Amino acid sequence: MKQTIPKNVAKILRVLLLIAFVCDLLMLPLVPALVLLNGMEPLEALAVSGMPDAPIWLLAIFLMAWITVWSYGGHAVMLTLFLLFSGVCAAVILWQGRRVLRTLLRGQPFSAENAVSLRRAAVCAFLISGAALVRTVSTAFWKGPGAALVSYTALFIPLFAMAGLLFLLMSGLFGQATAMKEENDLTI
Amino acid sequence: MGSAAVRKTAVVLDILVLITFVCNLTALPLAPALVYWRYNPTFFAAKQSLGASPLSFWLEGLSKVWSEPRTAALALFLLFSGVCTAVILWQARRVLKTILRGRPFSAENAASLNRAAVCAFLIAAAALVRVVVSVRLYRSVRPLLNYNALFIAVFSIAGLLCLVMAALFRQAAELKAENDLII
Repeated sequence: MKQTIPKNVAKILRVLLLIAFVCDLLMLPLVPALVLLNGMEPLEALAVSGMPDAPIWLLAIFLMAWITVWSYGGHAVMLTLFLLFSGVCAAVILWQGRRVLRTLLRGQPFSAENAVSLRRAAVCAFLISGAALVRTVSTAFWKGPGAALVSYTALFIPLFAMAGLLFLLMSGLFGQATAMKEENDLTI
Repeated sequence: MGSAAVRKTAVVLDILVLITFVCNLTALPLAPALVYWRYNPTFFAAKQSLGASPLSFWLEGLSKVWSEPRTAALALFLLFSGVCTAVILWQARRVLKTILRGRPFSAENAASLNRAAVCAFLIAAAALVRVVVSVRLYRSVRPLLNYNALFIAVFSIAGLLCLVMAALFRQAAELKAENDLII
C-alpha cells in the first residue's frame, strides 16, 4: 500500500507557519520602539494606565522611535539593525516553508521547486547566524566577552548555522528524490 | 547538489549534532543545582565568601532544589526537556548516519523522525503545563510573554515538521524500493 503525506498535519503546519509569519511581520515595525523602551513593560504600563489618549501616545512612540533610534548610540543601533535583519530573514524562511508545504498538499512533494525553496531558507538561516556572530563580537567589545557569550544571541550562532545546514541537506535530499521520481515516471 | 555534497553537509551536521548532544548531557546533571542557586542568590554569595568548592555547590543545590515547589517544578521541567532533546538529537544522528551510509530513503529514518516528533510534542506539552501553572500561581499574564511560552509554539511546529518529514522519508523509501524492483 502506498503511503501518502498526512495532509491534515501539513495543513495544520501551514496554518501555524502563516500565524508565525504574520506575527513576524507585525513585530518588525515595532522593533525600534521596543529597543528604545527596553522591552514591553513601559508600553504595557501606558496601555493599562487608563489615559484617554493612550492609543495616540502609543502610535506617536512607535513613529518617533523610527526617527530617534539611530541617534541613541552604537548598542541601540546594532540591536535594531540585528532584529530588523533577522526578522526579514525569518520571514523569508517561514515563506519558503509555506511554499514547500503547498507542494506537499498538491501531492507533488518531490519537485525541484522544493529543493530551491529549501536552499533559499538555508541562505537566510546562515545570514541570521552571521548577523548573530557580528552582534556577539560587538557585544564582546561593548560589555565584555562574558556577557556576550552567555546571551541568547550567542546561542543563535550555532542554532541557525545548524538550521542552515539542515535546510541545505534537505534541499540535496529533495533533489535526489526528485531525480529518482523522474526516473521512475520515465520507466513507467 | 550532488550526493557527495550532501554527504559533506551531513558530516558537518553530524559533528555539530554530536557536540550539542554532549553539551546537553553535560548540562543535565547541573540543571537542578543551577536552578536552586539562581533562586537563592544570598545563600550563593554567603557560600562563595566561605570559599566553598564547586562540588559542594552542586551537592547542596541538588539536595535542596526539591524543598521549594517553585524550584522543584523548574528543575523537573528542565530535566524532562533535557532528556527529550537528547532523544531528538540522538534520532537526528541516526538519520544522518543513514545519509552517510548512502541510504537516506529508508523506513528506518521515518521511524526515527516519528520518535523525534513525539519528544518534541512532549516538550511542548511540558512547556504548556509550566505556563498554565505559572499563570495560575502568579495570577498574571506575564508568563505568556516569556521564552517558555515561545517553546510551546516552537516545539509544536518542530513536532509537526518531524511528522511531515517522516511521511516524506517513508514515501521516498517506497519510491526507491519500486525503482530498485524495476531495475
